[in-house]
Amino acid sequence: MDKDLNSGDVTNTDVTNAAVTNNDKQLTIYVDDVPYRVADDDNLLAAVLSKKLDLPYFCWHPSMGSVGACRQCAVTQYQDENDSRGRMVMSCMTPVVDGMRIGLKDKSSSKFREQVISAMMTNHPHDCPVCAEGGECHLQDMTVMTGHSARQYSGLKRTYTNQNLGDFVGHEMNRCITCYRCVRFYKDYAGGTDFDVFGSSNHVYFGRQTDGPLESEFSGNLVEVCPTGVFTNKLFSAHFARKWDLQSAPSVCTHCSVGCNISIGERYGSVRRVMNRFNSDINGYFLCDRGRFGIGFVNGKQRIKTTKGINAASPVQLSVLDVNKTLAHLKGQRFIGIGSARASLESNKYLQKMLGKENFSAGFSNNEMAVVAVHRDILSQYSAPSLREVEQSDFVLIIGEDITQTSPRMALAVRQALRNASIEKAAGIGVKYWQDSAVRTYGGELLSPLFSLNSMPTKLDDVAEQALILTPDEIEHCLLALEQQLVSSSGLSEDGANDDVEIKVNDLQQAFITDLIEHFLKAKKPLIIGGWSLQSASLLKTINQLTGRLRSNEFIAAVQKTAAQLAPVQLVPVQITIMPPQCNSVGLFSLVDEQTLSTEQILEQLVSGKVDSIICLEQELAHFSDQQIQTLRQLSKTIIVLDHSESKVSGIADIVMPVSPISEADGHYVNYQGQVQKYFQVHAPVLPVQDSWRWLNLIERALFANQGLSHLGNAEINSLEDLHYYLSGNKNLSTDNDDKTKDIFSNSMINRGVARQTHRASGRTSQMANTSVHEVKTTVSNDPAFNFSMEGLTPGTTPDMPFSWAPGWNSNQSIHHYQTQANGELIENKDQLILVFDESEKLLARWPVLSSEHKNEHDEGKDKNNLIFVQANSMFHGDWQANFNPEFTQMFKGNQLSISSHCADEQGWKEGQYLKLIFTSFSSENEKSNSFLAIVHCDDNLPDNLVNGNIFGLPLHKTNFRLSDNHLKISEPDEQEIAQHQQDESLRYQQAEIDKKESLERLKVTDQTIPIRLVAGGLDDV
Amino acid sequence: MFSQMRTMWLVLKHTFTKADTVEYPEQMPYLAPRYRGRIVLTRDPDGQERCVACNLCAVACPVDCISLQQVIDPDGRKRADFFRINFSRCILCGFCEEACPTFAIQLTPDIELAEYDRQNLVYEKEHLLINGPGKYPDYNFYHQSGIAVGEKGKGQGEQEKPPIDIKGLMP
Repeated sequence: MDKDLNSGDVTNTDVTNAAVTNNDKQLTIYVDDVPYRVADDDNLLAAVLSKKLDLPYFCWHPSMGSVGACRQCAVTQYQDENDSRGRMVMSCMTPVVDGMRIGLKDKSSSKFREQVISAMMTNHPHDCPVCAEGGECHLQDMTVMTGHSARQYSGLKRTYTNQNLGDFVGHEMNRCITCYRCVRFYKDYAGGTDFDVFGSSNHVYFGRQTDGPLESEFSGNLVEVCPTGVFTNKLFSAHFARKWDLQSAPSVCTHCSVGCNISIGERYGSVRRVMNRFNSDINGYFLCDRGRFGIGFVNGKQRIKTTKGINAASPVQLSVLDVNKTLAHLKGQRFIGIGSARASLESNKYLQKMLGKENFSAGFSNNEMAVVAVHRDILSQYSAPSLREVEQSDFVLIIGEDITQTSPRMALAVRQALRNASIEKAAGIGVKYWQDSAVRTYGGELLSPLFSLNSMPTKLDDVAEQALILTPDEIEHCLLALEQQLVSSSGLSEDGANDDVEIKVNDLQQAFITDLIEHFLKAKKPLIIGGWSLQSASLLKTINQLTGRLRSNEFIAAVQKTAAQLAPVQLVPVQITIMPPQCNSVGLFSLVDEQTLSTEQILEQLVSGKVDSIICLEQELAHFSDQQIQTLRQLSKTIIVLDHSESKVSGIADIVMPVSPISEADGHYVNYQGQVQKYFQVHAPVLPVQDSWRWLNLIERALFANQGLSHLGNAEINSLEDLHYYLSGNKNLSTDNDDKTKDIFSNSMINRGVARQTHRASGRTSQMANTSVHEVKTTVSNDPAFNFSMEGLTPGTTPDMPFSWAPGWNSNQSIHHYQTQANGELIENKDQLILVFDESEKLLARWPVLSSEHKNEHDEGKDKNNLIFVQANSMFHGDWQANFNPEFTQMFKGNQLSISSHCADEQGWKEGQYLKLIFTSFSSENEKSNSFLAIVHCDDNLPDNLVNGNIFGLPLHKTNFRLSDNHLKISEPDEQEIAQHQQDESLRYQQAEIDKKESLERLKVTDQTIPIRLVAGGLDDV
Repeated sequence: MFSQMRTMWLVLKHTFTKADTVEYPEQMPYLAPRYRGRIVLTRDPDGQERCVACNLCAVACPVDCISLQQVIDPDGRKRADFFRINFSRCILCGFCEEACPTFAIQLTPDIELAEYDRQNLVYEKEHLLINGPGKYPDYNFYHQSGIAVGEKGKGQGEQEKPPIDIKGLMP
């Protein structure tokens, strides 16, 4: 079965069932004398909503629990069947009791609910027409639901002045109904510190102390959390469309490896916004700002929209024949293919299959290949937890990764995990987990333990039991000591005879380890999180080794023996997850084997003449310095680049083929767990832009058709389904019952013809009437799952919902109609598809972890060159695609070099002084693109031997090295250089400002020239 | 026989009655101001565009013949970047006028919408916009809604209290 689409096996795992509810016990409640079976540990509101009954609410949120602030969800509770009067209760604050009888339709509670709305409406302004929330407003829905159809209040309305909350979130306080959801999300749920509620009674104000951009990584969720239009998406408002007009498709976020489910909305041929798409295992109800606001790159000016190096016979349209003619000249050249972690699983696989495993590179450097080998090894042994499972752990150890910046949604899940201690404490006195404010009050400052071993300060440090900032080598050292001490403390020390040399650590580290062990031994569901950002294979190896030890049967038995004396605990083996950098990193390295080339080897192969040409698949070659790119250019006969945005490689390429970015493409991404997730075209691209696998198909047919590499010969691949059959090696399409790759696209087999547009989409006979009054047919989709029109099945009939809507529920909160119970999994849930990795011993042998012994030699001396440089991660600049958003560029505060003040004194640097950094690791010194200026910033949280750099445009892999190894030279710049740098920074800021305006102007032009596509297929399908 | 006589009598009688047909177009029929004819976009009493591009007309339109795009002016006003009605599809039902929350879109008693070329029935914003308030001379949306635009600040609209001093200590 090695011809599988994926190198590993594909299995269906149903992780969700265990995770969603703690128990399956149900009881009966009577709503208006109709019996319903509901879960027994929920509140009444959640129970009623789970049964798809309409009960209005504001302050309750499925993921944030109840506080009883808005009084909107009042119902009448009756004593028994003879009680006709009953009493009013707030359903969100009432636990369900077996046999309880409530009334939703009775006069008194209906009237009460209407009056609550009417009170809110006294101050709510008449500005729905200019409110970006209109049409998906929870307040509108609830107002209609309660039957409050006419205003009774004719007095003066309260007004507020607004704040400027940055480029992403708009603020219109007049609309506020004081449900407190925003502050509960921002402060309590996401741990933000710069947003709060001020004032009292009728003067309550939600905002910041002063104007300024919101600092939390999750500020965009305010847009969805707010039941009305106080917080709106500014980027969306700038080029606005109503929800009912958006053509949406289910998609997967491209900006980190968590793989949050998103819904991308399009109108008039341009992408408008990203909304959360509920997935109970991953993102739930929330996204991070990089995912929500980072979509702008698909509308950016850097997009490649025409081919380069291909002559078209007709000026109007590029045909397949044109491409074939151009490619025919390249026959006989020997190609290397470089895949990438932002191209789909299919495209990477196709490239590998087309050129052969020995000619495939994943674009990883030697060092990264070693990281891949260890990471694969970890994935082959342990399945990584979903975010839902992360939220249930009660002990978290984060090692060498600032997850708040590299994969923020994971950090949000970790924050929720820390609440488990207080939830458990509250459960001790009978307070349910959904009693949000009661749990927080009773729990106080109590948090589950979080231990952080990082090389930079992180935003989770404030909730960490202990956070230690060390150099990467010291982290490793500390972990080894931890392992040794854990083993000895659990009474297992006698079998570790060869570990007799005690690993020495300093007092600070010892205190950390002691504290950690104490908490670890009490933990029921411990979790270790690591990552790639330190680029250290040996660190991952150490983590792997530690995990192996902690999960070994002897260790667990020993711990349970010790723990049994104190209190009986059910120990779950420690879980581990390693966060890779990009959306499809795991998918990419599922294809890596011992033959896969590293970037260094590509150059070697070119020099040796084994190959002479290169195909770059959505690969910007970040690892190559400018000089190496030049070398690459000189050594290769032909460079073919398939990409959606301009990069330094596309600049030197002979042939550039424009490919679709996420919003215009079909494919699969694999997230950090190995979960395979499909994304769908939101709209058809304007030709010649097409999916990268379509271009690869053209290349294969033109260059390799007769070489026997492809058993299907000249197969024309016209849909993702064809491609899957082709890649999985099935000639006969109908008899492949045991082929596991079938699972990958089985979801598209189930759902046929779901509408991408809402049933109220408007303007069909007018939007293109400026070009021609004759209406065109709707675009035919090659993927049968979704239609490019308002016709078809409703969104709720598929697990991949293009958008969420239910009768009477226009906002995203309609999602409860499609869940088995409030905050539960989707009714139309599909089985998760998790890649299972096989043993990767060959890979480990091919890319051994370099021993860190020579590094430790330096540990004694504390000379100037002993400093270690680690790049600080930044949420808005950690992803190549996200960098194309001018708003993100403006979020950058300026290059900074953080260092402890003691160390600064030693080096003779002063706070606020400019330093010149020259990165010499890969290329000659005098190259301009390798030198940066940065301001010295003293941070006494840092140890004396660590330097944190936050530098714009520095490739992410340039991190974790010693200054003594001549990778980085630091000198003092002269006046002229400083002036030049300051000018560059302000120019960059101004350029971003111009880009923002130009982008809007460009989009306005797009609105007038909506492209006509009859079939969303390849080049010859117009 | 009687029937034929009666017919002749009736025909003769009608030669002396006043004709119901009018000499259109020399003689124009009276159409009430609320007659549903050609659609216009009106301006508020200050001369600014009334349309805030809220898309309600477009969604109310049963034949989907209205399309538009909202943009925000530097002063905070929202308006349509383009506003297009395809009159070759329009059935003059008046739902758009009913849906319009700002009285911007109004139907007029002009019914002369005939063209030789169907493409000429596609009206853009410059064809639709008139220089007056139409049937509602006094209404100004921005004075009724709470948002601040241009010189009209927070709390300066009709029926609005002055903005709350959030730094104040009084409850």
